[in-house]
Amino acid sequence: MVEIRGAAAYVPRSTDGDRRVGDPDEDEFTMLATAIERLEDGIEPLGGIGPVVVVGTIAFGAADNVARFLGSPSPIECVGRGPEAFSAALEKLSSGVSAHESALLLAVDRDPGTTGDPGDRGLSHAAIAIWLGGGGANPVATDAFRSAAPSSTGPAFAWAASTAAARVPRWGDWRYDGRAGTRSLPAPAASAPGGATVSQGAYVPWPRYLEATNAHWRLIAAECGACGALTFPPRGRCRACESTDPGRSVRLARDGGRVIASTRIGAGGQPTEFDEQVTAYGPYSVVLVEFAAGVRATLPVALGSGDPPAIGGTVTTRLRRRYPIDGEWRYGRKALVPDPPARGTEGS
Amino acid sequence: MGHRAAIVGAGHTRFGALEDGPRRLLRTAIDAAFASVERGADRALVHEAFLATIGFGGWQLGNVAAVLGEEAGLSGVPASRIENACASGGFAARAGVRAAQGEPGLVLVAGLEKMTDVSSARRRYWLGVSGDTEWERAAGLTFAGVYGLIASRYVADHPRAADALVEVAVKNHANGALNPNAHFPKAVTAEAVRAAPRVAEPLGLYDCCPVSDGAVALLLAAPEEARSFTDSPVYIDGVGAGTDALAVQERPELTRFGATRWAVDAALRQARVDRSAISFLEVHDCFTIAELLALEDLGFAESGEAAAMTLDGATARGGRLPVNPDGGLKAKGHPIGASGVSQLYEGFLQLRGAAGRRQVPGAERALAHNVGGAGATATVTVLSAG
Repeated sequence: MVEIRGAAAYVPRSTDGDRRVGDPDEDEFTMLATAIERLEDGIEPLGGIGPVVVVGTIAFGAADNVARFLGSPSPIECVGRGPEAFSAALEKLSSGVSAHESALLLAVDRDPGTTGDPGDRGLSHAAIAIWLGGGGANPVATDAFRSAAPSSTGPAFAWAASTAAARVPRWGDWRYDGRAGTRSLPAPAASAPGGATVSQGAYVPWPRYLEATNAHWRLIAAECGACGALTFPPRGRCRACESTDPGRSVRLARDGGRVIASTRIGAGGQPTEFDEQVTAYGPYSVVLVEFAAGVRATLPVALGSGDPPAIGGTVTTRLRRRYPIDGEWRYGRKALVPDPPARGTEGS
Repeated sequence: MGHRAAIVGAGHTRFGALEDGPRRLLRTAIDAAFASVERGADRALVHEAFLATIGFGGWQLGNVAAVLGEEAGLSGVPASRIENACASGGFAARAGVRAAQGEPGLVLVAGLEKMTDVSSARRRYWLGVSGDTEWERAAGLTFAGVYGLIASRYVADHPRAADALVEVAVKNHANGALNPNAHFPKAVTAEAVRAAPRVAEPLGLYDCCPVSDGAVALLLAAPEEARSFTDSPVYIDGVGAGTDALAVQERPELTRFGATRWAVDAALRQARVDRSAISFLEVHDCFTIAELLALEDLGFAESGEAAAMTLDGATARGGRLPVNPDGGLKAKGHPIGASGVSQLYEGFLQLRGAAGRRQVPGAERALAHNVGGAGATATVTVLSAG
């Protein structure tokens, strides 16, 4: 028997007709990461996680990214999609988690027709994260899940599981018209351009990228063991007092960043890795966000977020896709206009 | 006052989208430098050479100092490539000054960039490799974007700044119109500057320097030997240099370049002059905002006052402190490795009274300011007519 210790859902706020869909820079990994962060908001730190199971069809490599994001030492098991798979996963975790362990049940639903290569531009629709603990005073069984789960989780999952697997537009299918300032979905006649086979810009080698994922994905800063000042990104040396005392890792406030500078990149002003995005979506904004005195991060504004606030305004941040390179997506935090007050039970 | 080195000859190609490749550009500038030495300069007198370049022409990544020797007819002479992005030229000149001190003979300092040979994608690569890749470029910024962020902050803090950015472009184009070597030797109107497409707001096309080809060469000698080459040497009295965090996001202030402040203090201290002795400035205006920052970082304007100084006409060619009489990077062009050397070339002409239609009357002392990236490296050089 297990108890549900916490649960959180994430449903993108963009719409396509009457369906909620992800923004073009979202995928199952970023959606799961957002759901996990929301879960952690109530119970952080989410340490000592045992087994992790993902329900849903996710792209090659996404499970590795989820493991990195969680700092999970063990590989993540992926099972199929749909309510049956979810029930089976819950059953398995219920019997497999001992009294002292906890487990994480993740579920994500996305367009199944675009699973696979890193150039995949499929959109995602919903993700949930459920934290399970062995024993406890509040045991649940599979059949009782919907009634025992926090109210936001059941409907969100039901919504996610019932989402039609319709073909959704791919990022590269869109065309931005700079003169009219609009984007459209032309007839799928022309094949996509070849693109750069060798990086022409924002090239960071894979090992160095992985080394910094805590900072890029989680906004983890270093708090100096000698003077307490924050350094972001962590450099192994305090920016204030030059001490190399490792101190501890501190997560910057994800929702409390203040815009101290802002620019909007027009056609031709982007690094070449962003060419395809600009072709599809046109100009994009980049803001310099301050989280604490002198602690700053340069963040692109998420696609679909709308115009960033003026200097002095507040932004929230989320993990999003940034650009493809060497056949892989590179992820990082992006800034978003803060969510409007939550509506209904879907989260937002 | 002690002179550190003397410029005894200088050569400059036209800047722009040129047919010549990097080797021919280098040779043209170097030959012109030797030809300019009035009493003649035997190439055998060169004992050291420095080449400032970042991409050469987009294909010869390493070891290009050897090409400098070949094209200068100096094979055998020790030569080194100095690379500090857009400040390569200033740092190469600094190395040249040190090599010239106390040793008879000549030091060759050349700056070169050939940028228009490669595709626009590769050009953006070469333009971007000198900023912080991991945190700024991966967030979607090229240099225009980084300076756009800086400009957004400056404009938010200083109400007249938006107009001053326009005026920097208008002024430098007016100066460039008098420079036969300039990439854009034509004036522009404030209306045209304002109406241009935005590259990285608030910066538009006319706020950005062009992508140019070009080469410049200087011949340096020890001060005590200078008059054996020419009756009118121009002296280098101080060369300061500085560095700062590579990423702008990691610096304490967005609109102050610590590297420039470090460099100018060192240069003025070496030259033992104060700012009131400076006749004109050559500053690194890769974007219009950079000229305003330079005036403040160099100490010629209080914080926030560069906008008013510019709008009041103080920095125009006939103003109290002319800035960029050659058109600056903005109108003259910015072949990356050549720009810092070109600033000293302008000092050489002006302080000899040889700048023609753009001559700053009575110029006796100049200060040149060269920046790498968005302020990560900088040099400041003080020149005098001796």
